[in-house]
Amino acid sequence: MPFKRYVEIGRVALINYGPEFGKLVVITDVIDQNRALVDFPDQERRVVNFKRLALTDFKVEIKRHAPKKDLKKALAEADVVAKFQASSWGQKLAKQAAKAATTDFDRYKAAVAKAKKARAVRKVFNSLKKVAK
Amino acid sequence: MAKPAKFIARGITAEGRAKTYKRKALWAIKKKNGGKFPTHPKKAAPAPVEGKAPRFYPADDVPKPLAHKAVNKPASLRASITPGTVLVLLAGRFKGKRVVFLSQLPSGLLLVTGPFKLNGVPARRVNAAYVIATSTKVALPQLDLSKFTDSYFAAAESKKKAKKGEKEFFSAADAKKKDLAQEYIANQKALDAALLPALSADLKGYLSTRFSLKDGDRPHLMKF
Repeated sequence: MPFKRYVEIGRVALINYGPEFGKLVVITDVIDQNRALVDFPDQERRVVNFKRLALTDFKVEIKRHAPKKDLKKALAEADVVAKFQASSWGQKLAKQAAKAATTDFDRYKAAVAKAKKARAVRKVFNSLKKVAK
Repeated sequence: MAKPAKFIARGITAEGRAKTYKRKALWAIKKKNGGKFPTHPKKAAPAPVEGKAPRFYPADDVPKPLAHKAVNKPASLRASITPGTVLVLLAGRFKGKRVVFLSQLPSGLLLVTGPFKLNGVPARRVNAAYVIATSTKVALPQLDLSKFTDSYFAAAESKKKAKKGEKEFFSAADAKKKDLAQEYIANQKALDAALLPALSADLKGYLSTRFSLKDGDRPHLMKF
């Protein structure tokens, strides 16, 4: 199967390592085999190693070394951020973040809800099992 | 407060006598005390004790005990611990229990209770170092905690610690379990009665379960 996501100008990628973990960026230039120049509104343009980038399905139409203004416009037109958050990948990240932010009390409530659900399922399951016999 | 002196070199001030006088605003002190600097007369030395001088002086120096300058201050409380905070106890026979923080005692220890009705933790003192403060807060009603002082608990502890000899050890087997003081039980019941109506059903369940780490839990990354 051919690749669907390429390293190219305008490719939206996710940083998968380090303190910037989880940030979306756009590739604005390819420096060499290992590094890309990435940029995003409200972030500084910088060099990132490809090992730290995970390419997404999204691509925006920008020129090489596009200024922030053009980048912002292209991202808004393509509605990339909202689309990524709606994708299953984005939802998974949101879920992970929400789980990491749970407090002790939240974890207790979740455990109680889980036990309650399991009881209800077991009850129905056992009654069905009886009928089947 | 007066501004600090400027130094042109170590020990040499940039300003002379008159300017220093002005900078320190010594005139204001003089004015306050009717044109003169306030004086602090020395305390009169205690009168020498009458009587015979000792016939012998000690041959060796008698060591003087060192001056104790340290004052025991109660440990300052973490910002995350305020009255009503739910704490997780980490050590002792109640480890893992979730309790409600009531107040800090003058000794610096934390006054907590289960409440006793929910999880069996009576009003007791705990060291803040052996406690995890959660972000959960209980809205505390007006409580009368005047009975729960350091001496209240110290008395209870000293009674417990009576040493047992060999005889008592062997006779202890058939000795009856000691009853708690009626007053102690009454105090706990009054405290529980005041606390319990303030707790929702969820919170009651929460306080009555123990905290424990499960597989895959990473306590350094967990939020409490």
